Amino acid sequence: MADGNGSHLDPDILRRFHFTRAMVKGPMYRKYKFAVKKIWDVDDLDLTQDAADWERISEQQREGLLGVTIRFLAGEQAVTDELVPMIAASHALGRFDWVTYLSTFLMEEAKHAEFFMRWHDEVVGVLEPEEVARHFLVRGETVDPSGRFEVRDVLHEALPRYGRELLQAAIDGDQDEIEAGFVRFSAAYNAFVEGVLTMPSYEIVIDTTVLWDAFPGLRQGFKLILRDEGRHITFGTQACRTLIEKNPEYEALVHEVFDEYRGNLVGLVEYQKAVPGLDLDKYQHQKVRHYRNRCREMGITPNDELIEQILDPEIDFVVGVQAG
Amino acid sequence: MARQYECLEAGCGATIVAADQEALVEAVQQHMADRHGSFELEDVIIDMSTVVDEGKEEER
Repeated sequence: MADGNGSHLDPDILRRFHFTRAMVKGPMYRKYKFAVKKIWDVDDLDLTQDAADWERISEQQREGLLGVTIRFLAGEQAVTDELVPMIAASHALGRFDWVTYLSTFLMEEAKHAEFFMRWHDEVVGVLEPEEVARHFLVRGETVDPSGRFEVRDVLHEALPRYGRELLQAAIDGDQDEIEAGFVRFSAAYNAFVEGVLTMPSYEIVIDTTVLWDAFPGLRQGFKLILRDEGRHITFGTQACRTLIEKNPEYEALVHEVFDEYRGNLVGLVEYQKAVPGLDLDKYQHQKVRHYRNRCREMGITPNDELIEQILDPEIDFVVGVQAG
Repeated sequence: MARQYECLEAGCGATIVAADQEALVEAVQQHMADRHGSFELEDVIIDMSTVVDEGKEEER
């Protein structure tokens, strides 16, 4: 390429500039701009009524609600802590628009963790690890009586493992390995955890606050978090779609991730059954919608057997949980 | 420009149609609340909506 004076531009200098008109008009940059325009602050939420509601509900209701919210408190800290490999991989793939968007993604995950930290501190009166860990429902105690499915901890087990593999691929610099690692990590993080497994949990908490006519601050926080999560999920599935269109063999990697943790999807797990009085069938139907949505966004074919298993009323886990 | 979105809830498959993107988001949320007691993420609706062929009804 020549400059305006007719001399050739140094490729090393050209590589220092990433913005293009096509990138600025693209879907990832649009998500970045939306995130910047829709920033909200945890400090603006009023938790006074939530604290009063906590005082009036029963001990059983408290334990049921904490079973869900404590998982979110741990989960939001985990996803904040596990995002770096995706940023490193986006850099290694030369995707400046992805890196730009992920700068807002990481800030938002930290803010979600902050919301749950503040809610538990101001409403429940617990914050230190020793205070909150005793309410964490242990995954290994949720079992499938038929023995067909194993319920594992995808958030605290799969994300660190796929993250380490992706980070190593980014360091090594092999483009195919980075792309494959990105698809695995994003399938687990954005599609499975954020996009399918957790969605019914958001609805469970929102429905609980409506059912009990309580905790308006928690409900408002969840709705603000969900607005951010919509961008997170569709960033990941859009990135996967781009990589799968480039190499259709990557579709199999998505299905492998979902197969590995199939047990977590086919039934409702312990914290999702912790609040009495909810229509649990509704959340299984929603789970199918979210799974189909993620497949549509990634441009891949849904696994019909998985859908049938999610809807199968015979598959119902026994929850014999214990506090952590 | 009119846009449409297909609901993938188990047992549904309705196609929601509206005059523009903003109206579509509102119509899909109404559908999710009325038919499924639920909601949909705004970015999901926006990203997966498509331009509608002329002559479609409001909701099928």
